[in-house]
Order: sequence, then structure tokens, then C-alpha cells
Amino acid sequence: MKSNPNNFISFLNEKEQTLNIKKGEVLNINLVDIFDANLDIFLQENSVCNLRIFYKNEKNSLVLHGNLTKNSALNIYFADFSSGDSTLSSNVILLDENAKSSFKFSSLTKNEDHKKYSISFSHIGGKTVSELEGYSVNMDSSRLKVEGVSHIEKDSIKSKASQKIRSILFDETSSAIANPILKIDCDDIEANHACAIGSLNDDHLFYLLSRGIPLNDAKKLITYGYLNPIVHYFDEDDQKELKELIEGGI
Amino acid sequence: MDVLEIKDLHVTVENKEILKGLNLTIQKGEKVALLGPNGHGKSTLLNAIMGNSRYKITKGKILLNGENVLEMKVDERSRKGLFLAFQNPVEIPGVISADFYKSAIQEHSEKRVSLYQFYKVLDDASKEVKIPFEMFNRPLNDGFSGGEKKRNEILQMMLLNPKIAMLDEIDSGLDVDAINTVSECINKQFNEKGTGFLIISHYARLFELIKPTRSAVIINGKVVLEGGPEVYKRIDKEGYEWIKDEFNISIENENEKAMNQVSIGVCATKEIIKNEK
Repeated sequence: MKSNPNNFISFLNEKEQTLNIKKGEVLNINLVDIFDANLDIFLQENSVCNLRIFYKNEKNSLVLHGNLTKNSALNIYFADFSSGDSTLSSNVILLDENAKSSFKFSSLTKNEDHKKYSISFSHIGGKTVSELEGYSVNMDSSRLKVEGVSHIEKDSIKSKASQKIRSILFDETSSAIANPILKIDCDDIEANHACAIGSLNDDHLFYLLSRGIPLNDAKKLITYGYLNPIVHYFDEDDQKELKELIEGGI
Repeated sequence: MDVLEIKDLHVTVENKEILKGLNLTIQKGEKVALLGPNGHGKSTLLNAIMGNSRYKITKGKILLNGENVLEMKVDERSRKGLFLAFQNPVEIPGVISADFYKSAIQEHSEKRVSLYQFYKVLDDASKEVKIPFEMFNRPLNDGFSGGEKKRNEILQMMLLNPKIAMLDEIDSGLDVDAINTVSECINKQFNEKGTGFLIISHYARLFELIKPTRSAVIINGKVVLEGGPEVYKRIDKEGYEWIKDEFNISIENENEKAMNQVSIGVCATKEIIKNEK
């Protein structure tokens, strides 16, 4: 893995990589186009890792493991605008009190692509927090499958878990399956999950049309709105490219 | 002179006929109060005029300055000068309000609208409706209160400057101050731009402030009575019973919702493989 003085890592140079983030350290990782790699991240007390993953070309796959100790945070931002099949598996273990992790993704699937994401959080320490939030747009006989599992174990009191997945099916040929699953073995916690998959909302379309916006532009506005929120988590250069991919893709 | 004419309009919703031969004309320089018991077709009329595909027009005509509105797509109706302020404005996740307004204003303009021009009109309008400018960087209506959504509808009316504005219960959910703000905006639009208004409300408070020039009452899917402001004032005091007695009209009760129209929410994982369309 290559690192610069600003605690910034830009790519993986081995298929099996382990990263130990020291106590109090803040590390930003930007990964672009990963093929068949494993990344293990250990976060010591009070450390923070912002991991940005950008799939933009063909055949990406990454397996990610995160282990979080007290007061540490792992924020994962995943933008998948690649062509071809892709997979991502993320398993984050919130070991100690006040560990926090979020996974936010935007995905555009088209051209018969098959994409599959498996995202899980295990709450072991008390007062731990996890958040899964994802948006996808699917078209052209493509298929997307998202498995999201948040497991709050029995001693993880006052922990919080939320899951939200929304997908738009742009045409009759595309499909999406999303399974946001909560496993709760503790009483004193907060958890919620939501999932919506469907075509473009007729009421949303009618509203935009009623303001004079033509149908194709209205569809673009809505789908852009789905995919765009991920952009501002990325660096300036990637933001420009992401915007071009979103606008070009829809 | 801008004029919207509705002639012998029949509209069905889910195979049930709601409008049954409705006639009404609204001209520039008019504020028409549209009244009627619940479920008799007021909102149906406004949605049908705007082109909501759930409302099927089976007979009749809608003309805007002599042009056939029924042949126009929804967006074209807007660009021709029709505007509908929704009773329940939708929240559209991710669509940033300012981006949406700019697209809409651009569609209504023959020339390219510069960023400066856009922000100037938006800033002016936001002050009129008393919505903080920062809120326009948020997704459309996302996290807005009920009152903010209604004021946001009025803001869009001001930005798009329609020939005929249709307001569907714009005052519902507004507190006293917000009703005053909305009324001032309606009056300003009327006085300065000459926009014609068709306004549904169940409350005299709004009508007292905007002073409609005319009243029209829809009962059983038809306009059964047209008159001056005295009509809405009397309805406010006496309800609709006097119309039944004086005009010998039997008022149909709003049908109770059949059980098969009630949806039960289920918190569960959804797996919808194929788009229904």
C-alpha cells in the first residue's frame, strides 16, 4: 500500500493487505478499481479511517474486514459505476464501546452487469453504532443483489443500527434484490431498516412534469438525485469523474 | 386575455365517474373560489386540467386561449401557462431544490437564464414566501414542514409566473402567519402579473384575505352554482344544505373507502424482481 505524508493511501499493491491504524490516528484511503483483493483494517482506540472505494472499470472485487476498538470510526464510501460484473464484501466488527461504522454506497448497473454486495456489521461492544445507506439505479437487463446484515449481540447495550436501501428499476429488464436484515440479541438498543425497490415514482415524475420539465429530463433529475449524494464524500478529481459517469450513465 | 375553458368535462378515477359534465371558465384578472363538499370533484378537476394520468377524461374539452389542453403533455401544459399547487407536495429524495427550480425556470424561458438571474429571482421569491435561502440546497421538500411545503408551492408559482394558477387547499396546515404570507403572495401575483386563480379551500380565512372575485360550487361532479363572493360567504356560515334546498339538488355522500382500497403497511424486505410497467 502506498502512503504519503498526509496519511493518504491510494492503492493496494498486494492481494492480501493488513492495515493497523494507530491510536488517535486519522487515515484516508482512496481505492480505485480493485481486482480480487483482501483488505483487513484494525483500528486502535480513537482512530478514524475514511475509506473511499471507486469502481469505474471492469471486474472489480474486494473483500474487506474491519475491526474497531474503543471510540474508533470506520467510514466507507463506495461508488460502483463500473462496467462488467463486480462484487464487494464488507464485514465490520464493532468490538468495543463507542465504535462507529458507516457504509454508504451508490451503484449504477447496466449492460447486463451482475453486481453483488454483502455488507455486515457485528455489534459486540456497548454503545456501538452502524449505518448502512445505499442507492442504486438499474437498467438494461442488469442484476443487483445487496445483502445487509446488522447483528447486535447480547451485551451490546445502547447500540444503534440502521439500514436503508433504495433502488430504481429503470426498465422492465433489470432486477434488484435487497435483503436488509437485523439480528437483535439485546433489549436495550435502537434499530431500524427500510428498503424500497421499484420503478420511477409516478407522483415524483408528475410533480416535475407539472413544472414544465420534459419527461427525459425529469427522469434524469430523479436518478441523478439517487446517485449523486455519494459524490461529495470523494476527492475533487474523483468527484468530477463520478459526476461525468452519473450524467453519462443515465 | 388569457382564458381557461372547461366544457362538459367527464372524468373517471379507477373506473368511477367523478366529474359528470362540468363547465367552468376562468379568465385573467379573476380569482375563482372553488367550493364543494368533500369527494365531489374539486381536486379531480385540478388534476385533470394539469394532466395527471390517474384521471381519465372520457368526454369534454379543456381549452387554454383556444388551444386544446387535452392534446398537450403535462410539461407542455405547464409551459403554456398552467400551474397546480399540490394539496400534498411530494418529497423527492436527492433532487436538490435549487437545481430543480433552475431547470423549471429555464424550461419556461426562451433565452438562457444566467446563474445570476436565477439566484436573483430565487432570492427575491424566497424573501416573499419567507423560506430561508439555505433550504434550497436541500432535496426537494425533504424535511420541510407542512407549512414550508405549501409556501414552497407558492414560491414555484412566483418563479414560473403562470397564466392560470390552481391552488389545491394551499392553506391547509398553515398557521396564521403563514396564511397571511401566502395570501400576500397570491394578491401580489394577481395584482402585478394578472394571473387568473382557481382556488380550493374549506376555510373562509384564506378567502377573506385574498377576496375572490367569483365563486363556483361543485356538487355531484358538476358546477351547480356560480356567483360572486356572497356565495362562499354564505357557505362559510351555513354549509351546503341551503343549496340542496334552494336548487333542489340531492347531495351524494362521499363513499366510504372499500376495504380493498386500504393498504396495510408491512415492515419487511421487499423483493420486486421486475418492474411492473
